[in-house]
Amino acid sequence: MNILGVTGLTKGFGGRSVLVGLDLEIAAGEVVALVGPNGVGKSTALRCIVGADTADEGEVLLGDHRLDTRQPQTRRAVCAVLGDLGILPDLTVAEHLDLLARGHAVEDPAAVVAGALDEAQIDHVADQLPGTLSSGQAQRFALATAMVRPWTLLLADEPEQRLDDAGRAWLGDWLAGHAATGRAVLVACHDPEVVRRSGARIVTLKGDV
Amino acid sequence: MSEVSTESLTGDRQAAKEVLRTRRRATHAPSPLQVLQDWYVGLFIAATLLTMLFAATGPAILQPDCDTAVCLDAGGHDVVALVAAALGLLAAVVGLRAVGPVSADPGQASWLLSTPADRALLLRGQVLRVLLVAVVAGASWGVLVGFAVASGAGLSAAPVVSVVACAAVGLLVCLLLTPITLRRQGGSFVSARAARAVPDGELARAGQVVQAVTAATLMLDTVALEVLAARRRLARRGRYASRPGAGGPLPSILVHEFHALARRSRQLLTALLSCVGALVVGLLLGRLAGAVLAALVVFAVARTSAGGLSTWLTTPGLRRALPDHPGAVAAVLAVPPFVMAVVGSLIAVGALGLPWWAPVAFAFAAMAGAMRACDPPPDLGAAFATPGGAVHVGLIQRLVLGPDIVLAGAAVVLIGAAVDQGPLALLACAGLAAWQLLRPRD
Repeated sequence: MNILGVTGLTKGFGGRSVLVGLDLEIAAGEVVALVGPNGVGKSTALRCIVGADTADEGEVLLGDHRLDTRQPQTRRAVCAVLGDLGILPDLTVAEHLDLLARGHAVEDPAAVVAGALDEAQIDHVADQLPGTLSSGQAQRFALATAMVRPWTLLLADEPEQRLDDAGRAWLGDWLAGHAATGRAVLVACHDPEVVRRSGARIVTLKGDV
Repeated sequence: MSEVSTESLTGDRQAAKEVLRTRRRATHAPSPLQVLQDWYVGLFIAATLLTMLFAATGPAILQPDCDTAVCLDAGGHDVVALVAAALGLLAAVVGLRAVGPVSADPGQASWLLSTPADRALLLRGQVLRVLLVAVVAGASWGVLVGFAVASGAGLSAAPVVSVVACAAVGLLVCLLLTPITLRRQGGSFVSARAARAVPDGELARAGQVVQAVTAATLMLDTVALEVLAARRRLARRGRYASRPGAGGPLPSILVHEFHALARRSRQLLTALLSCVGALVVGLLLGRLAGAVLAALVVFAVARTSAGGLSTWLTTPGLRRALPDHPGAVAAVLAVPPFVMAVVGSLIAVGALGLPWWAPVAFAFAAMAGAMRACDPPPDLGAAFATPGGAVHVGLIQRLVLGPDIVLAGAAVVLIGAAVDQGPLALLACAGLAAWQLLRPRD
């Protein structure tokens, strides 16, 4: 069963086409890695899929319905780690995760948050404001936001960025683990090791770069 | 700061002079005539603005036409003068230290790292500029204090002596504080020695503040100032004991936001103090001026306490992350700032003689303005030249985004009070807030 279906996705900026007719299907239990050089449209594809950018043409389906994040059920099903998650000022890392967990009505949010902090290895900065985190810690925090809430489809833009070697290895295994539970993952990635460990199907974007 | 021997810090004066000459000859450098013209226009504009300020405030303070619920007597004017003088002194001490007085903009600070040229010559101009701005501001503040002193002493008919004396005191205080601040910054009362001894990091820090303040005052661009303030807050404290939320999605958001509000107590206190200032202005200048200023300071209170709401409204990524209706989450996040805005309104307009519903209406208008200020900023658009540099039309639009709706709300309150249509005015202000809360932003 396809969780995500993308047909003819096209997007241009300033008269230059970045994405031209992207077709993509992702089944449940599958990790798909968008690869390609800088500027080929990987991030643009993710942003157009989730609706952060408006595509010039094309259709995006979540299951059988158009993917529209204005719908609550879509926001419940889709988790996007695109680097644009706002930080509520004066809330600590743990409080942000608690807010997200409770926002999705998860059971035992305290345990879920503690588990996410531990898995992302940021429990030592749980009481810090996110603005004080290092870039690597901030990336782990962004990934932790996907651990405290339910989702069916994860979209992640270069999640390996700023992670150390151990972190990238963990990331690949973590993505594969989610796919094994029947979820779907679409990730834009530059790291062959993350792609290999996640068992991702590779979709190479070729653009005019 | 420990005593620094400045002998060994004296750089190559010849190189510094050569740099200054080269800079003056540079093709992009303004001609001497252009510099003269810029200074003339700058001083003319400053003098015009100050004259307008004094013309508006002086007579109102000296011959108060009290239309508020509480009126200041002579003793009240003395208290106002004393508090204003103390605040002015505090602002001068803190302000001078914040901007250096020795500073270098980021580009110059980097370049100074790799040149043997004498810094005393290169940085002298900046110190003189700071001194000039300080004495003009100090003397102007002294004039305002002088009006209050004259009124308190029963000299409203002949205020010149007290006004001139207070202006002179303000000027002298700034003239004295500048070398004292130089001593704190660079270990010497003498500008040249201090400039040579200031550490590079301190030069860059002060330069960033100068740039941010300049952009905010001359270019109407407050972004750099806000970034600096946020960075300073994080440097001061970036760690708190995490506290869990409570209940379901919306109650937990409310609980978290109240926790966050408690952590902004310092900024909130400052904002509430500005409400006291607005009240004093209202008592000095009358209900109209007081209401307009109150609307703006209550707007500041709302913005200060609306950190969560602002982030929610400006961040599509956050709105995508929670399944609840964005309007419902925004309404919950608006509760703490609305409460604070009501408190601020009660302080700012409580004694102005306005009806009971006015503080609530001001709070609604302030919330509407705070939410409108979260709209994406307009493009820079066309620019026009000023002595401070190019000012873009878009920057002015950004500045009024929010205050426009707040001032409209203040007008509704004043008209409602004048024609005794309180419920309608309250409804109109609540409608403004509801409109901003519920309109789609994606």
